[in-house]
Amino acid sequence: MSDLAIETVGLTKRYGDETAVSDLSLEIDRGTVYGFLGPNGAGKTTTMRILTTLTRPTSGSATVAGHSIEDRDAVTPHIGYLPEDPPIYDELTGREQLEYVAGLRDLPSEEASERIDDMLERFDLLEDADKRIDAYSKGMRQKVGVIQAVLHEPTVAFLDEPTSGLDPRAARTMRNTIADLADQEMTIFLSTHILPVVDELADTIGVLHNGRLVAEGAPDTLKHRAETGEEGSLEDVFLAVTDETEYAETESEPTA
Amino acid sequence: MRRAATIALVAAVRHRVELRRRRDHPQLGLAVFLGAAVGTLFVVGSLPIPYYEAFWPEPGAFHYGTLVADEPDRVLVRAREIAAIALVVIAGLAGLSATTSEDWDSPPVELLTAVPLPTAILGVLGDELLESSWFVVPVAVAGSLAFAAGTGQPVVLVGVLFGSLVIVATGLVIGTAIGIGTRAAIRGSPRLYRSRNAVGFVALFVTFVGLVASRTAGGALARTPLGWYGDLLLVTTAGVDATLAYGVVATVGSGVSLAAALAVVVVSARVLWFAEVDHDHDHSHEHERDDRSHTPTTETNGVDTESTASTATDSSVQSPLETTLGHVLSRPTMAVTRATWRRIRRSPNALVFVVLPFAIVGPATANVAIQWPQLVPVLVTLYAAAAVGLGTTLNPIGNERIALPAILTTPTGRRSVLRGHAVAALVPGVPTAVTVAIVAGSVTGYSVGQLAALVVVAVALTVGGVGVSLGIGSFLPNLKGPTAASLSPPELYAMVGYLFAMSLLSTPAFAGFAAIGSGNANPSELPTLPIYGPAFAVVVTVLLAGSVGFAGYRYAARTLDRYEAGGE
Ligand SMILES: Nc1ncnc2c1ncn2[C@@H]1O[C@H](COP(=O)(O)OP(=O)(O)OP(=O)(O)O)[C@@H](O)[C@H]1O
Ligand SMILES: [Mg+2]
Repeated sequence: MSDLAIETVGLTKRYGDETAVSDLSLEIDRGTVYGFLGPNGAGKTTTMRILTTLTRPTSGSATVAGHSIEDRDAVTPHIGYLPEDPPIYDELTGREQLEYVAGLRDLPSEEASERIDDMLERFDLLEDADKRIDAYSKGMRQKVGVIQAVLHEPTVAFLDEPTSGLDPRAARTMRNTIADLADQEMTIFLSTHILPVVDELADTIGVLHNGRLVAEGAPDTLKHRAETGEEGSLEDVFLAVTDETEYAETESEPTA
Repeated sequence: MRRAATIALVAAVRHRVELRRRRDHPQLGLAVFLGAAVGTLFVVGSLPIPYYEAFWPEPGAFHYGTLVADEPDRVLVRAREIAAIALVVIAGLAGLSATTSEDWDSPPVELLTAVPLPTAILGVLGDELLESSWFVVPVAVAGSLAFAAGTGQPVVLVGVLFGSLVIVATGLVIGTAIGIGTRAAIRGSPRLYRSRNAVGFVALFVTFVGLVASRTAGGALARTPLGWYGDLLLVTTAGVDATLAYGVVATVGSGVSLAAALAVVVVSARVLWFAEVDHDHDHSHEHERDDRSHTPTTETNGVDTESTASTATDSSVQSPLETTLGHVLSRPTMAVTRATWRRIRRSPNALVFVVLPFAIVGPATANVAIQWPQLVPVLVTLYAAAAVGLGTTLNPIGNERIALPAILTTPTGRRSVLRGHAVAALVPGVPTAVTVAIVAGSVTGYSVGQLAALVVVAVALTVGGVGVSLGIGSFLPNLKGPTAASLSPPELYAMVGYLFAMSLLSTPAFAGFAAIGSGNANPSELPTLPIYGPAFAVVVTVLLAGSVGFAGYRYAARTLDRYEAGGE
């Protein structure tokens, strides 16, 4: 079995003549946090949808937890996914929703309810757990979505903008939770627009621009990039590598 | 003027969105086409074209066109009846669609902040009317053309076409105003508001049954001012003694009532859009009742006995049931079943369509009862069986739409979801269908053997029907719901297709039970085979419903496998 949690080779996804993801090759170690950055429309969500088997790549290949993404039944036991819109039912309460997912995954009931309570508590949702989701705020829905994505302790969790809509305290809880999960050897593949989040959490950062990987490395390495010549912030790096005018230059040297 | 342009823009853009949705799902567009085509066949009627005459022998607009020369009075009487009935039927359907449409639930925020409220409301109304007109306008135009062709005088077309478009517009707008006005009026009462679909259906059902069952209803309607629209249709038809004044009054009346109807729509939509809804309201009450069941009174009003009772039954009866089921079903399937029941209980609107078979075929029962009384139990059993598949199984993908990424990334998620929805329908459905079959059969005097046969047919149709329902529902999904994450009712054309499929599936049962013959009815052409007929029905129905139902389930499973969640 490979040591890599995620490995992609030349992954490409085209919609008509628009290329959403272009020749993407990644190698992500187990138990690490991979921060996936990029401007709107860069292809982050599309990449996650490919890696979670929800859509097929136009070309290229990938394995997740050692299984080819062509084989949905082999991959899905090992992954958890929080899409941009949390996959929850308005009619259920938060707790019912999580119990539902535990049942769907056939998790042992006792363990599952303990874990549900624990996570609800952690996210300060215990008090509202028996309210219906259609009365939840955006952040509360997001919390339920995150909990259900990691409830079964998957090998790899794909979190698409997990901190979106969270208040500062909840965002902090989210960061701590992700750090804890990574400590328990879970691999986290995380997309976000909030740079401090990846700066703090990520072992490796990948920046996607127009479907291509234009920069990759540990946060500190990236911040020492040659382009700026000096120590810059992650924001400086992000702006530099995703600048349209410098695009041609970075393209020839993807991971400078 | 600018106002009108803005309204047209709003309607056009919203309508384009709907058209694009249909284009992404070509089967939905096809379904509209088929619906309009069948409507057109009915209205145009038989045509003197080789083969066509044999294919569709029912007389319609063309036939009445040919009658103008010889029997002008008969044509006028018929035109008045048809115009009056058409107005009532179109208004009834538009009213029902206005009581159920999600467009009136909450305001489109992007419009509210951009244009004056009446403009936004009329724009949304315009879109709704355009959508309804896909179906009605082609039928009206084709009917007019056929009638004019039947008379052989081109000038006839002017009156019929104008008249039928006035009828369509009047029916649609006034029906919408009545529907949305009623909806606004009951907005204050959560219980009434939640049951509006059911009430609307029942009202429409009673109207239709009344129209069909009573031969005099059309004539009575025609004597009201509604009949004047028949004169409007025929004002340019030479030879028919249509009263021009009636036609003029009808047109002016339409203009006045359209203006009034628009005002009603604006006022009512304002009420509906700005009604503050407390989503958690009902639920917190549910919990209060659970917690302190000895104090069933709630602060809103004391008359809460019905739902208190149902909550009590839910917690006491369903738990043992769920425990028993839990032994039989896999945990994932059980999880889906339980979640589906909970969702249905809290979004009952998605389920109201189960009364549809009764509304559509109800009138047929009367005819059958007179001619072939021995078939009534089969018919009633078919209604019950068909109703079972009209719930969440008829829109499996639509009901899961936002949850699809989670389900598809769960190992057994795809199968569990289909099975869970099926079980959620069958557990209450099979006993109901069987009970209906036994009661109806006993009342009609079936022998024990015949009863047993009918029970097997009931089970086969119900189980097979749910498979068919899953298949048709995944072919024609409704991906829009009151909110992104709530249950959504089945696509209209999925319901029609499903009911059609169910009536085909039940053909062998009718044929088989017809062979019973009947002492008190007219002697049947078929030989009297008291048990061989039902036995035949059992064997063929089980084979047919079983295989078609299984195929439907397989199709749904494959569709779900290939589904690119969120990728459309
Ligand atoms: N189903 C689709 N059909 C056509 N184009 C698509 C589809 N899905 C995504 N795209 C295109 O692919 C590109 C990448 O989209 P994607 O959603 O992956 O971006 P993203 O990086 O997640 O952006 P954001 O930060 O805004 O969430 C976009 O240009 C988008 O228009
Ligand atoms: Mg995205």
